[in-house]
Amino acid sequence: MSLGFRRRLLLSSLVFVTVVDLGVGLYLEDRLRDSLDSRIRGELGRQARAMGEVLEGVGVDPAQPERARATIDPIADRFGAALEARVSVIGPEGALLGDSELSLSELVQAEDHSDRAEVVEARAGALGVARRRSATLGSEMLYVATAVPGTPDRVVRVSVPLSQVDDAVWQLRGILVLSGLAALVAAGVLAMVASRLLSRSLQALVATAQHEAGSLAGPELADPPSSVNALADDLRRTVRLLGNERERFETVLETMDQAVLAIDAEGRVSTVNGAGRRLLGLPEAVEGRPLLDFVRLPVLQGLIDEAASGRSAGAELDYGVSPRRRIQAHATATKQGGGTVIVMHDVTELRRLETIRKDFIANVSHELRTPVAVIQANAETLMAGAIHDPKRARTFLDALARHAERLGRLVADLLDISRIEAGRYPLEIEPVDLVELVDRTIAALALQASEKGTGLASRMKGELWVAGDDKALEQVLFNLVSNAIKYTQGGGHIEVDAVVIEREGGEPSCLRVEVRDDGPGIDPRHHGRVFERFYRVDSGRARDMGGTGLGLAIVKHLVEAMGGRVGVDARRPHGSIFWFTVVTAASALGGDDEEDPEDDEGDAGDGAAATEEADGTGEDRLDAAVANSSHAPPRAG
Amino acid sequence: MPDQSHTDRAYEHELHTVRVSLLRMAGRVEHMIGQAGRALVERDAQLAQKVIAEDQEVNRAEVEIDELCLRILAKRQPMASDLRFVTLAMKMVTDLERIADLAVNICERAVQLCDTKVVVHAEIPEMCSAVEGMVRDSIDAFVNRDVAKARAVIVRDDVVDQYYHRIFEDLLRRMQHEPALLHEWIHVQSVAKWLERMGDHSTNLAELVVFMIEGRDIRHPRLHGDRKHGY
Repeated sequence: MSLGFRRRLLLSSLVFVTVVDLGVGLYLEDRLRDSLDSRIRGELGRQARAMGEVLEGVGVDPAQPERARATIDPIADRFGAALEARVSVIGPEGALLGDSELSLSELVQAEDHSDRAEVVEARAGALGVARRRSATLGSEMLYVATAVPGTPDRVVRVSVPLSQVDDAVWQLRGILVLSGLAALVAAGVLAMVASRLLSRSLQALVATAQHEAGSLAGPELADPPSSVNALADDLRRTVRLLGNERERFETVLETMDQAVLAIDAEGRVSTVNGAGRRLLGLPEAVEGRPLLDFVRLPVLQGLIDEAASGRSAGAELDYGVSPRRRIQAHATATKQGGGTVIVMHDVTELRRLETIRKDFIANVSHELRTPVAVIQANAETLMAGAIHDPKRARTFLDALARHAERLGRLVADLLDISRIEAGRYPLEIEPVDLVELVDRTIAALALQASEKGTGLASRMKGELWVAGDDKALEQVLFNLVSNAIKYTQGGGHIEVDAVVIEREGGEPSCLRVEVRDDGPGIDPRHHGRVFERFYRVDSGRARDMGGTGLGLAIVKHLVEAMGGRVGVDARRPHGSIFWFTVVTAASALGGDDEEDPEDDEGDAGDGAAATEEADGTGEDRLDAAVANSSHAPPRAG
Repeated sequence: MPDQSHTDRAYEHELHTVRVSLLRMAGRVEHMIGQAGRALVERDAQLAQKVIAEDQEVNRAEVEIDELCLRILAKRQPMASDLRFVTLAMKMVTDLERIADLAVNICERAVQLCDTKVVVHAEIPEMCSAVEGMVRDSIDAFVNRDVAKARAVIVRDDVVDQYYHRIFEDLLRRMQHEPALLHEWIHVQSVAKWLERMGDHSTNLAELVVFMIEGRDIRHPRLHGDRKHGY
């Protein structure tokens, strides 16, 4: 099993070592032989030259070879013995004059040497070198020859048997082979150890891999690659799966309405979703930074501490200055790592609506209770005997009737408002003459105003055709004007006016109808809320006035149902301007069929500026509006 | 050197603790300012009492942070920016604690004003928001080492001062017209004054943050004619 793998490993390392060893051996041998060769050659050359120097001084008579041989041969013999080489001296005709290996008698019989390659080269003046089998001695020799200076036809030749060189090479080869073998053995041992270690760690690796992957059958260690491949596949699959999972998780998290904030044990933000970012106003790069760097709400910190101690905790907290949000937060410790997950939602609107509903019920019961109690008390008094006293009975009956009427009005208002809110108040949008309508309203309320000594006047003349529901508009005007009368002290002045706030091709398209009083005015803090049901700026006083607390709420609903806006502005030096917008008949029902005549919110902020204008130039502009609208379709309102 | 690194880690942890405690304390103080303003405007005596009770936590945090900073100074002999941070923390804690005390004062007045007819100026809650924002931005500047933000806070103190002067002038007029409510108007004046003082403390915070980041003391600019360098 693992042996196969190991054997392969071992074998390959042995083959590798052998090849390297052989290569190195051959190369080294070649280089060594070369260098040995050239060294020996150089040495022989120097020796030959030295011999030549010696022979230069030895004069010999070429005519008497016997004498010459007798003189030279001993010198050659001595040199040969000293140099451990064969030293020969060759005469002019190629005859050997001396030779360290041959005796005198043998010299004579020696053959002619003049045709030897080295001799020929030496006679030409160079250093002759040759390698061949010696005819005289019968062994492989290396010859080096040089001419004796002064007598160029005499040549000194030094030679050594090549076996000497071969011996050195063989010696070297032996060393190489031995060291190669040693290296082979060492490499073998090392490879064995390494393969064992490697195979062991590989086995462990594969085992771990298989265990981790948990899906591979049989520990097929004989084939580690396949199990590793399987693991890699497994890993890829797992990564992809996790990626998908993560993507899904992130999508869910991001599309959640609830804010999710996860922090680690050190209080650093680890995850936050889009809703969380928006709710807490967090910057982009927030992950990994301490939550305290951004949000330092004591309540939230308290929740986190509580969650860290093992209890999941919830609370409601206020966050931010303007707008201040009411946030419901719930913190839970994560199962691992000591982190905390906080889920939050914005309950500002919910709480506001709850408050309104609670207030509404409390208000309705309160408003209903008063007349009911009065009716009850009067009825009881009558039954207890007052009925027999006609004078007193009349007072009680009056009170009874008045409160019953108020109760009826209240119920009617409540019904109205619930009908409008439910969208079941049928509105018929048609051209209505605003001037006539205002006059009618003023006439209806003239008595009430004169009783208080309040002046009531319309500042509109001629005809002014607007698009609206006649009944609804009348109720709106009635409520606004009667409201103004109620809250303006005696001697005050109330005026109704209309201001053009938008024109289309020179024609007025949108009007703002204003009911101005010079009463005490309303603190701007209440401006946003006076149109809420039962909202009282000064609760005690308003009820004395006999109001139901629903008038302005009905106004708001009706105007909005007709596509207009309502509002209240402060008037200088004191007083209030209650206004609502309405589109002209010409623009809404005339030639250009504009479906939605309501202008967008952008104008809402200009209320104050428009009022300023109205104060100064309202009259002129109104006249213009009236003049322009005079050619509107004359229809009965 | 395992001992050395252990010491370093413990030291790091101590500095971290100072930072966390400081931020939590700052958060509480920010919150208290806002709640005090709300208690005053909404005549919510219960809320005011809650804020007053919260001061305990702030005081505790002040003592704890001071102690921890002193321990770090004595045991670790911090250098350079660490030293600046520790000394700064001690000073910031003092300012924060003062702000919390002022918030408590406001809440005490809020409790008293709950039962009266006095409607506090619309500027008072605006002033509260402004001061709260100054504290928050000082701390944000501290967290993000944002010198520009800290300097912006210092400039904003003028806005708070203007609020105070406007309210003061108006109160003078009202006191003349409605002497019967003199007592209440004086309470309102105190509240405005305290808010203005909170603004000053917030400015201190911002100046300290600038010092921490730049290592340059920008308090009392006139002093620097004589003394060219800060620390």
